[in-house]
Amino acid sequence: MRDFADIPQVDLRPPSQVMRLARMGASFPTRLSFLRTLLRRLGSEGAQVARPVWEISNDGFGHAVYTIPLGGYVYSLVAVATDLPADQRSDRVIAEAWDTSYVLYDGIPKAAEIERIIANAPLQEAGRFTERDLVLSRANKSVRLFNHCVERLRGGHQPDADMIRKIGYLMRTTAVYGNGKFGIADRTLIEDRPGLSGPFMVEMLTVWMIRGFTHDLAEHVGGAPMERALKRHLGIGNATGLGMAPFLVSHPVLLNNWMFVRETALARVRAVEALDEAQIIALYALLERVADHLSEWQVPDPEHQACIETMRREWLTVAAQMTPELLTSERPVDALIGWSEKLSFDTQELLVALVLEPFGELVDGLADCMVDPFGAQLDPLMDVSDLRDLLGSEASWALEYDFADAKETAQFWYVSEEKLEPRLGDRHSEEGADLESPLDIARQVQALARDLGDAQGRVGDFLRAHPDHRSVVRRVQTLATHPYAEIRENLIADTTHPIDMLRCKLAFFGAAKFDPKSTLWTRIALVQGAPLADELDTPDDWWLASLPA
Amino acid sequence: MIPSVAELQSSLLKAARGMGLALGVGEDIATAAPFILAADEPNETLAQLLQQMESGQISDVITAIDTALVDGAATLTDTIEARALVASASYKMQRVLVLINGRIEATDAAKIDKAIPRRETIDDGLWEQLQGFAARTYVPATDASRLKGAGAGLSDND
Repeated sequence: MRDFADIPQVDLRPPSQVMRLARMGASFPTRLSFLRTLLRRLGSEGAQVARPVWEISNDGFGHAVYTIPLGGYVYSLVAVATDLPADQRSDRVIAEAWDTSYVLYDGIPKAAEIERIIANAPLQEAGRFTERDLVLSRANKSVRLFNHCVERLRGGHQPDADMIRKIGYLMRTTAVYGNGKFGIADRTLIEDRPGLSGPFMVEMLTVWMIRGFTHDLAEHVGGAPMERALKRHLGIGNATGLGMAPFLVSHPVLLNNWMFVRETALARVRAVEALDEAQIIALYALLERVADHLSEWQVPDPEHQACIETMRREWLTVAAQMTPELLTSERPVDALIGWSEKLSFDTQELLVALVLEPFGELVDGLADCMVDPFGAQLDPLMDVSDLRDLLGSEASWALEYDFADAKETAQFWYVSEEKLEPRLGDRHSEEGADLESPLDIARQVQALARDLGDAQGRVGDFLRAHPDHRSVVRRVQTLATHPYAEIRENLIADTTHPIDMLRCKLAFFGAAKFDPKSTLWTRIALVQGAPLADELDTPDDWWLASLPA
Repeated sequence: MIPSVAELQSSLLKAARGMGLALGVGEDIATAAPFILAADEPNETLAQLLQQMESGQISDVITAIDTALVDGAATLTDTIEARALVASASYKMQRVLVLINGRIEATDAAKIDKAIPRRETIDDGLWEQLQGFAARTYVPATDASRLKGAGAGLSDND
């Protein structure tokens, strides 16, 4: 990674602190989140969105095409809106019909290509796509808010601001497929293109463009424009189930790079010796913004609502701590973050995200280091004694679990034959554990440690005798250079909640307003407060934006 | 069937697991997907690869590659599926691996380029065979698992 040594930084928070589910499950979006990076890029290029096709009926069904230039290429969102009976409206992967479906197309589609997409996009997983199709997605209406907006606009009024604050989006995406799924383009095809090289950039572009379509659709059916401030506060929702969680386990180097970059950004900001006046003013403004955000953030789940209320209380303490004296003292951010360690994980991580905001020049360049072109590597040349040392230094956390205890093996991850939906089973009462997905990393590490014993020679020699350890050896070796590559928990224990993994990943996307519905799935809001299509030249300052009263 | 590279990759990993191969072996086979599609005869390469996976002999290819990396050389029968795995390992390890006359040799490299992503038509029967192996990792659905084991409600009209 480039230029890491050139900028002062304090010690990074260690993986033993950062890579724990309780803390990962308290993640917030930061200015390094992928949506922020994308919108900065679009803004810097002065990108202009056009809508060359709008074939939508008065009641809101039909298709539209939007185009946007990025990095010397043009991409098009083809949006298809259909009439969905209420009994088919499900956010689950097993759904078979949706209110709207989308393809992000490479270039500008001609009529025949539009027709092909109109025929296939509503089929989603049952359709078949081509290399010109970069992303496949679908979204269902938030029936409450969509209908409310339409009715208000038809009556000559604006939608209710409180309802917009409470729900935050007109539609929820329930899948955003990239990288070769159902025949769409492989990531390798576009990964070197300017603006799309970062993780999930093409998916984020799709999501942001879908949000624009939902605005246009509501205004079209409502027959009147919405006020700009209200519209800006209408993001795009998303319902995410536990299928997203295994990604973090199957992409250890990528996970490391995301975490390492965020932690490096924090370490750089903590090392700032003194704040200038503009930075202090910015921090005070952000303090207030967070308070507004927390007051806007309401969820039905009592446990999560209690966390939000704790954050609200603790935020008063944070405000009291951020005195002019502290902010004008030596290394003020370091002092603030150190002090915050007595607060809840949620408030700690919220503060981490906040302090990065005024330091774009110091941290934004790190976003280039969040990709992983090679994946985890196995080194058969490594000496077995070095592997044993690595187990002790980087994987000892995995050796502490007692897998003879039924609680430590209580759950198993699997893929259902029903639309290949990922699910979680109870090992001790359900069938299927013999087909479990290999997320039992801690258990695999223990098995490796047992067989490694006092073996000698090279890793390649050891693997000849023990081929079953090939995968976990690769993972342990990866920790030598990628210390944040593993979630340092037993992922099959009865206490493991997939929602913590989902939240971590979603926060890197840029998600906020987490609204958990169980330990297995959550709703979120994306791009709430983000620039509209004709506002890309505005400053990149929409982190946790709230709707002014 | 014209699969994407990613579809071939994920199918191979699942198929390897479905056949009972070690996870790490499956990972290495999956990584070779772009090199299988870049082979002169991708269908023949995939067909032979599946046979070798089914018999378990593919593990010997992986072991021979490891041995060559550790010792500088190893014995390995020159087959088209072995060539794809050797090319993949060569890229991942950034070392020159040459398979010739039943022998694989490893030497240092300056930089080895990745396979250019490309798509090939895979015979439907062969693709179905691959999907059949992959399906061995899927758990049959039950009403209980549908309701309890997955996220999101069955209806979301809010």
